[in-house]
Amino acid sequence: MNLRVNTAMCSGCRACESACSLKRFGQINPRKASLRVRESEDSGMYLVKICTRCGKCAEACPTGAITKSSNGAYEIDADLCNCCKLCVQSCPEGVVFVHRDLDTPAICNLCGECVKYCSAQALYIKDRNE
Amino acid sequence: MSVKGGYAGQVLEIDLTERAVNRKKLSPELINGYMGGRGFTSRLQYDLIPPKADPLSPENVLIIATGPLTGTMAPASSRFVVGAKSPLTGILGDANCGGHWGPELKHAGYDLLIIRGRAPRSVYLWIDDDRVEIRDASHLWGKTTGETEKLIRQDVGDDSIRVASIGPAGENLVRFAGIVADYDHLAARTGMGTVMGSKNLKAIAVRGTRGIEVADLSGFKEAVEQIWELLTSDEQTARVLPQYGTTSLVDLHNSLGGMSTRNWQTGYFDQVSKINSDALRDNYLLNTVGCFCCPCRCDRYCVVDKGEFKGTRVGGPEYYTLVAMGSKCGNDNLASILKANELCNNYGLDVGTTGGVIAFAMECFEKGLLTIRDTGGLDLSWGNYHAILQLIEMIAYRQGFGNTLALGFGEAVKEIGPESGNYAIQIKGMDPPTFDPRALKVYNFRYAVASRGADHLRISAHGAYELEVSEPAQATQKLKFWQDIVCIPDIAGVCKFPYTFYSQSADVTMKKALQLVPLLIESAAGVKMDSGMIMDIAKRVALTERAFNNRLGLTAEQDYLPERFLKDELPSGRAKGQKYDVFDTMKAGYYAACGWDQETGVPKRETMEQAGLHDIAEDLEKHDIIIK
Repeated sequence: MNLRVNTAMCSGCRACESACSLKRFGQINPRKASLRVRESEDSGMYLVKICTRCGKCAEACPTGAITKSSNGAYEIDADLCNCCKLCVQSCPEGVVFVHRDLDTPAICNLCGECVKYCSAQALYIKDRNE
Repeated sequence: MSVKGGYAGQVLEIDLTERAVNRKKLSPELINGYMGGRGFTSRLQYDLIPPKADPLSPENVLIIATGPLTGTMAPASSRFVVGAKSPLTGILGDANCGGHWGPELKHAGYDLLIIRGRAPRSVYLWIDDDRVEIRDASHLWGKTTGETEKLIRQDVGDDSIRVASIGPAGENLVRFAGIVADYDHLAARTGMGTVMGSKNLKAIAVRGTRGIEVADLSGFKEAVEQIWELLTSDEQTARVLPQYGTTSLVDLHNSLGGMSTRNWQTGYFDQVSKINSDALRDNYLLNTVGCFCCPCRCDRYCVVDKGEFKGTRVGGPEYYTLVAMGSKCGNDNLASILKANELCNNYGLDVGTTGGVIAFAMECFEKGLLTIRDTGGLDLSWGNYHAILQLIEMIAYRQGFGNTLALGFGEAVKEIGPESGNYAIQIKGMDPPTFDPRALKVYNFRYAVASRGADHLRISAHGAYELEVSEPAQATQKLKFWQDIVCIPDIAGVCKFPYTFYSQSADVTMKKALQLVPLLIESAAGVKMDSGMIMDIAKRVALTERAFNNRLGLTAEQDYLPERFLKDELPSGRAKGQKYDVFDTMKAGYYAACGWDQETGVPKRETMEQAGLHDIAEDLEKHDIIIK
């Protein structure tokens, strides 16, 4: 699965953040979302940060806890993770995050729930073969 | 019943005089009786604000409430309500606001803020989940709302926090100052920003990281999916709202002959094509903006990139702004209307009442009751947008003639002279918005009886347009029905545009308000809720608001329409020749539908008892209000 975003179409409603946290953690909490919407410097427009599967988090992980799964998402093995947060710091998009409720950092698992609730159609899935 | 989700469960009480911060559990009685949002602000205004309190004194209480759905991912769950005794009208005040600030407050763990007293020096509140600080705001005082928001984000070192602030208008106690959240969202009406200013409270900044639980996860997700599907497939909410926002109402109201033009002299603006939704989209629209979790995205963001007003950037306008700063002032220069909107947002002014008092001054100027000697050299001829823009600044800073208008219609009439009262188009001290009652007589009767002055949002349901064809007696019953329906989004914490105003049909509106909202609340909060229960709460809220106003001395006499609507025929447009000739019938029918006494305008005893408001009935009697 290939999650993409056209930020110029974002209207800043942040339903994607809530949908993400509700699906993943059973709670509405934009600060537990694996993508983030921010106002851009030019007010009236938005920046949408998503996981680009660049793999920097896996490279930074000193314990080898982060690996790529079959759908292309990176996942964290909680048994190997020592919560050093190097993955959080290494993420160029700022979407690998920690939260006090969670034992390990969290990374987008490419479930696609955010796309379902993006009524502005800024988020979309691109077939990898396209 | 005890709630298991949806609500955060906590009330934050702040006394600015004592610099005290307290947390309390949200009371089950308040939840069961009033649900949230406007229900909470109305009941707490009744309970906490002494009837004789001066709205600008420390005795007035500023109440900020979310509803059980605010911040929950229910579609359009952005809303919070600010209530206090109004410094504009002297009666019940409240203003409802979208954006992202309300959800952030809920995510920080609070349903309600209750703010008392007055800080000795300017302060702002920093609510960071459990940590609450009353911080010095001397470096913020005098700043615009946009500057304030940026500076607080810098203070805190986090650009994801949410800020609600007042601008110079609120600081200077202009009686119609609003509270500005997320740069461009306003709790605009009835002077709630003025109350904040009177408390020396510049802003409330929030960071909420706790989130919200829901009681029945799968039930809630199903309910969200169901209503999301409905909103994104209905023509009105899936196409009209995202494409035009509310600005399509400009052409609609003008075509009905009811668009307020030159201070309500007529209902038809012949230059409408210069300020309508097409003109806006073709020339200035940068982006459509959505409040928290809203698929309808009705906010506009506009940029002026050429001409005299190049550099103007504004979240807006609503149709209301296009009328208030446009046709109502005889102004067809759209870029100047955007500039006026930007100034009002920056200074923290309600663009509606600001336009209302300027249009009033322009008519006084036309009639010779004001000259350029009175206005400090301003030529207030219709459509002089340079004068409009200058006057906005003079109002915000209470300079010269701006100070005459800054205190509202009553004080301005005293200053200008009694004859000017004929042109002060207001009810209970507040201006009606945009839609002439002579053009749609049943629907717009709402201005006469709304609990916060000449207001359109207490009854703003799509189905209510159809009432024009009914007999008045039947119409008033239905008008009351729609009033209760329209209260539902206000108490639940969602937006009334997608839930009750924009729908393909009245049946769809009823489905959303009476079936889907209760379903969302049941699954989020884990309590029983159905259409009958939610309508009972809506009725109770309206009665509590009426009783609050009755206790302050409001009677049937204050439910009126301005003489202009009763006596002058509309001179042009589709409703040409019409005047408001059904007032007495409408009033009698509406009172009967509400269960109010025809003579006194006070709810009858049996009405109060049916709503479970024995305590309020007793209290009114203690204050010598006769209940029949």
